[in-house]
Amino acid sequence: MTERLDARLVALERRLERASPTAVPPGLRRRVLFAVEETVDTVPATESRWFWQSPSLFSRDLVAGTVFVSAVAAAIAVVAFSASIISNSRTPLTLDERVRLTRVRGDDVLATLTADARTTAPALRPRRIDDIPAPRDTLRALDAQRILQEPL
Amino acid sequence: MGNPLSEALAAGDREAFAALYDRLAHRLFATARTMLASTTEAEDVVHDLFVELARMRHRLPGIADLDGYLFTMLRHAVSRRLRRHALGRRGLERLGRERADAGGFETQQPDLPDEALARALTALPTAQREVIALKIDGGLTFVEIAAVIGTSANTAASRYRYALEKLRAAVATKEVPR
Repeated sequence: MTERLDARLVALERRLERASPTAVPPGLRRRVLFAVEETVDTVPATESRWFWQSPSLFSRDLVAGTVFVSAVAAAIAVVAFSASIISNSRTPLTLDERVRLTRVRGDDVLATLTADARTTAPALRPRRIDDIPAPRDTLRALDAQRILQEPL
Repeated sequence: MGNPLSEALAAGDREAFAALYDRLAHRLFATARTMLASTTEAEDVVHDLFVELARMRHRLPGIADLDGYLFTMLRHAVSRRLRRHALGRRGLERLGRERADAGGFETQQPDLPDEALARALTALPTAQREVIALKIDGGLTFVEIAAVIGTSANTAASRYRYALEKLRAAVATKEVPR
């Protein structure tokens, strides 16, 4: 790449090289090495380990590992529980199950039963009072009254 | 797994750190100075880089290209400083306007020996300036530069050429005779 640069750019490269510092400021070496020495003395050269690599059974690594595994297990349990709820919600419940699970009051149970009866057995659907035939005795009594009230 | 120097560094050997400093400090310092246009800031960056290296020395044996790794650390350190400067620049510009209203004050001069070139360098986009610094001051090849800045060698070479052309245009009137 450099070989393809024209002469003016090459001259500029030389100029940049001349402008580049030829020496590191005096004192920087001592300052850097002093700081490095202090760091080496104060910061232990330890790698972060997994808990099973820890030399001590009751180390912080072990605690951290246990917490990690517990957290993973809890997350899996939550996911499994949520999945079971979702799958159950898609399965139609029987009436008994519905009554048992929803803990509805007696009225609600009756309403549920009626609703189910309407859908499953239309013939049993309750009719209006006008639709219900009166007992024969009542009809006879009514006829007798009408006869008595008619003008002779 | 690593080379002997990396092993010695990982063990916290002071002599190993001194040897690494003697081998690379000049190139690291020159690169940082061109990228930051400041001798003081470049000193601080080199200092912080070696301290960081000592702090995470246990990782060094696993690093194949130690020089490239150091230049990458340097680039990140410089980028962090430039970001901090950008954040603080708004406040400085406000201060500058206030000072200018009050009678003006002297503008900070680029801290490089070739003043015209230094001014042209600081006007370059950061991506081009860092390639110039890594090539001229760091002495890296385009392949090494590409590894440091995370791009292809062709891109690094293109940025270098564009940067040189911009610099040449900027200093054309004062260009030294060939």
